Amino acid sequence: MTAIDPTLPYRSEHLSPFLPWAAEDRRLPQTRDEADDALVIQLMQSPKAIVDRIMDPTRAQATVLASVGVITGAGALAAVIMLSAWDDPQRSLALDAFMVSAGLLGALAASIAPIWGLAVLRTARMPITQLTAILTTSVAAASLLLVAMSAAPAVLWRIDGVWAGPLALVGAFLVAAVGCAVRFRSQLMLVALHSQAEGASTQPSGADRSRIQAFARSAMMVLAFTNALAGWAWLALG
Amino acid sequence: MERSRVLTPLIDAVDRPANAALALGRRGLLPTTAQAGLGLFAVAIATTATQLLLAGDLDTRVDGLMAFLEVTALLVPIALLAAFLQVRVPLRALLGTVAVGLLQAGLVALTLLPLVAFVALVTASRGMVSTYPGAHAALAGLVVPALALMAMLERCTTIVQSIDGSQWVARSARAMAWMLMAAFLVRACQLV
Repeated sequence: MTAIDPTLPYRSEHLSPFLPWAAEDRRLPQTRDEADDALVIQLMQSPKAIVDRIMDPTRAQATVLASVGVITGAGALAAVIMLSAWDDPQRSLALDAFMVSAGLLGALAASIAPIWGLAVLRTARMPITQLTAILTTSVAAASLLLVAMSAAPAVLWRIDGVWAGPLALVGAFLVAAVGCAVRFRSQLMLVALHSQAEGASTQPSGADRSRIQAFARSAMMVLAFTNALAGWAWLALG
Repeated sequence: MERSRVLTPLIDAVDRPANAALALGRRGLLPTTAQAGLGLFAVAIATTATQLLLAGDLDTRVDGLMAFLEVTALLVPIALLAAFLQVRVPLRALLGTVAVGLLQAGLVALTLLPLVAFVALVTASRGMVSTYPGAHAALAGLVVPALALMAMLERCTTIVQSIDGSQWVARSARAMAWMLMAAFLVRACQLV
């Protein structure tokens, strides 16, 4: 978790001016040391903690497996929430839930090797296990974001099922995709920072940064393509 | 004066809201849910009592309580989104913020009851008959949830701002509060 900067304004309790208070009542407890070690919360809130997990060889595999579990569960949950408003006896909600989480996982699995190839093309090769871990945790964070956003289509579909509902459905996936891209890029930056030699500057150099960004963009294009294919299959089969 | 273990968190939630939210985040999900439930219970009681006092029955009304519950449920995904955007409040403390906000909402709703009773007494004694009975009943079901929602959103924005003091958090929290208020009105209009 990012530390709270004590120099920021307003970081103090609002207290009633009519009651006697001691000076320390106005101070808030530091949340700096309250790093939460639940994976789901770290996935949502702290790319740095996730990169620490990935770079630690004893925890990397468990993190990836748990992230796959999170993708499965969150994808199914998001589908159930989003489509609960459809109320169509012809459709099976269980099939939709399966198709969404299987689609997310399949798209992820299909895109790992092409993305590794892109990394080689950009002279930004990294161990494929690391790449897998970064991609999986990014998609897991995005699927949690999808669960958070799935309330919007569920509500809007009931209000207006012609325009607002479908647009909100597409919008929820788009927000999750943007979240995935942002998370993927910041995790790549953190890994690059982690891999730099002792005594190097604290940031990757400008040329390295732009290469990492270009790699992240093209990787997200591959992921968007495979996810679009998965969505297409969902529409065709569902 | 020795304060009891049950009352201290409640008094803290009123007097030192940001501290209370952080403490709820540390203490876990059960106390958070308990406090939120207490607040919701108070809002529900106040809404029903207002409905009975002002409209006389529970049949013709806007289901303001339902709209209140739905908008409150929207706060959970919003907390997740805020965590993703790295608002510097721990996720559990964000849920604690919602609970503290709900407690305040319940308190505000209960403080409205004497006013509602007074209005009911005066209108009854003057034998007033509403020109628009439908609108009258609608307002009776809506006024307490709307004010309770305002109280809750105000409290939540204040707590988030006092924990993370950055400018964009203040702006987006305020924008979020207005959006939720608009969502409440839209939903309430549908539930007539």
